[in-house]
Amino acid sequence: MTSDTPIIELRDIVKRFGSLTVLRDIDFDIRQGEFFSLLGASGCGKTTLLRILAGIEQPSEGSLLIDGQPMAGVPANRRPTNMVFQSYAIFPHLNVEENIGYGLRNMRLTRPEAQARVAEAISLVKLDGLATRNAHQLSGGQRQRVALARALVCRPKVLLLDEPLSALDKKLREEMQLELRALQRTVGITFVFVTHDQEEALTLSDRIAIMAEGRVLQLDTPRGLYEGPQNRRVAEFVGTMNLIPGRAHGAVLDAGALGRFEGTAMGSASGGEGFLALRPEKLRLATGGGKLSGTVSEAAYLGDRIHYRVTVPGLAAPLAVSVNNLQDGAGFALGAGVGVDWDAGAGLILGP
Amino acid sequence: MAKRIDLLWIYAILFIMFLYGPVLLMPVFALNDGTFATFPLKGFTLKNFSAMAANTSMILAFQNSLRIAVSVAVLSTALGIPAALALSRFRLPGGAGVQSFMMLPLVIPSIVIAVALLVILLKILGIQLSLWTVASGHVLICLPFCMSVLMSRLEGFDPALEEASGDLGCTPWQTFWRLTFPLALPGVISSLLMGFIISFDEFVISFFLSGTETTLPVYLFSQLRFPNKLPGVLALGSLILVGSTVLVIAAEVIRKRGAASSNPGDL
Repeated sequence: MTSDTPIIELRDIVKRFGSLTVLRDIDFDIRQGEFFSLLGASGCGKTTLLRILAGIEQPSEGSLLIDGQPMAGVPANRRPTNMVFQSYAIFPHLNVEENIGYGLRNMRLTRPEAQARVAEAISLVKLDGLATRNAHQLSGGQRQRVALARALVCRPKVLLLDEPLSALDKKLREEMQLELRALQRTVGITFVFVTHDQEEALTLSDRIAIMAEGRVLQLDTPRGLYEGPQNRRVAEFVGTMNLIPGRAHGAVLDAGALGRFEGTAMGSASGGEGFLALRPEKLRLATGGGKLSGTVSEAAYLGDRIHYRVTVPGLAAPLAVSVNNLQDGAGFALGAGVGVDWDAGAGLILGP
Repeated sequence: MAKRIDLLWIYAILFIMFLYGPVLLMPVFALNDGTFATFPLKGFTLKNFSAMAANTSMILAFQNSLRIAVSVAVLSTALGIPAALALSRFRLPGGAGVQSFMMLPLVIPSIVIAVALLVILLKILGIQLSLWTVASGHVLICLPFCMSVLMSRLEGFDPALEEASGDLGCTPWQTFWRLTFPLALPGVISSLLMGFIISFDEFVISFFLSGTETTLPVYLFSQLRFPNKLPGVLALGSLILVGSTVLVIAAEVIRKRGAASSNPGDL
């Protein structure tokens, strides 16, 4: 369903609350039919950006187009977007059916048409049989489904989701992640999803914008972010990353006493302070040899793999190493001296 | 431990007796067959109650009070809703100041308000005293009560509800009628009852601002000068006591039901 046609165009958006600038230089497109995530720690501006898309907040500067239409001066009730709120915002005085049909009252639909659409939405989110249940009789997962159905029944061009899974327990959350992804493929609507959970964002999204302090740090596919982080903060935010500090010279990092390492130069890492970034699963352990040597300080057996911590003299943080269980039957004991090695192309040279 | 609980019980019983004892004596003397409200009681009678039906000036005063109280309740609630919405929803410039200003009639002695209103109405505006002037004075003192009842209700619910309503296509006006008003309804009813009771009970402002027609509290006060009228006053007081108790219980039941239906578990 994803095409290259943009459904949302953000142009130099700035948002200020009084003297506080919460969003700056927001300039990107969201494509028709994609599952797009805004990922960042709390306070990074991701929810504010979502509320600007919904029309609940107005940008201080810049422009926003949805489906080619400028949105300046268009209030929330006349935008082709609908939102699933973090608190779900289920109307407490209405039952499931009335909650879901709330937005349809404002469209020119006949009664049977509206009823058919409510019924369709109820079965889409698997709430069959609960149509007349009162709002306060619903569980967290059911409330979330009502909020989803209530937004989807209006057939928006863009569905906005504000951390919809954060209030659910882990098992339900994982279940809903899969369902949400399947739902998005079924309805083919563009989803803009706000989350602080990087794993969730990686699982669900076609593309992710990583945000910090009101800016977009990097916008890429999950694979692109994991394999090719442009800077240290993205590298640390997505997955686990070992960082060896030194001075970066193009594709080489001079780590002083530890040696010089080659890697792929990312972003603007040249001539200054930099890091060699290595994913735990790209490292290999052996009894000797390798590019670095250290001692095993921690080992966690996870069944399919073993996570080690290897303390290397001269490195402040121990290296995280994830070893496939097939590769090393017996594993390494705590305190064992090991060599750490990796393929020449596995390391990335990052700027500060 | 046991001793402390006993002391607390004694304290509680004394407290309740002090609060309600005098009030409960009123129906006792109203049913007593005698002119003076003293012990020992003489005998049981309902004649004080039956005499009320024939007392046209009292019935008229009662009707006046009822009319004023209903209008005051509706008017101060209608005025209180937009004020409470504005203060609880928006960060108004000087909102705290506006709020304290609107709550001021709570702390100003009603005799000061009454005298001030009397001067304004008679000397400055040149308006004849009537039941209308009484009602407008009552609105002034009821408004802060109605507003605080409504505000506590409006502040209780998730601001995302109104945002969601707007997001689903409702204009602010539609959101008010489809969402805010139904959710605030228990508060609206409490506010109506509050306005009604305050206006119905009010004496000082009614005394100063009423013209030829009078309200029930003012009528009652005028009757106290005649000792032989006292049993009738007691009978009327007993009826009002029963009526107010029923109203207050009804208000509390409605408020509790409202609180239960709008706090759906967590979130």
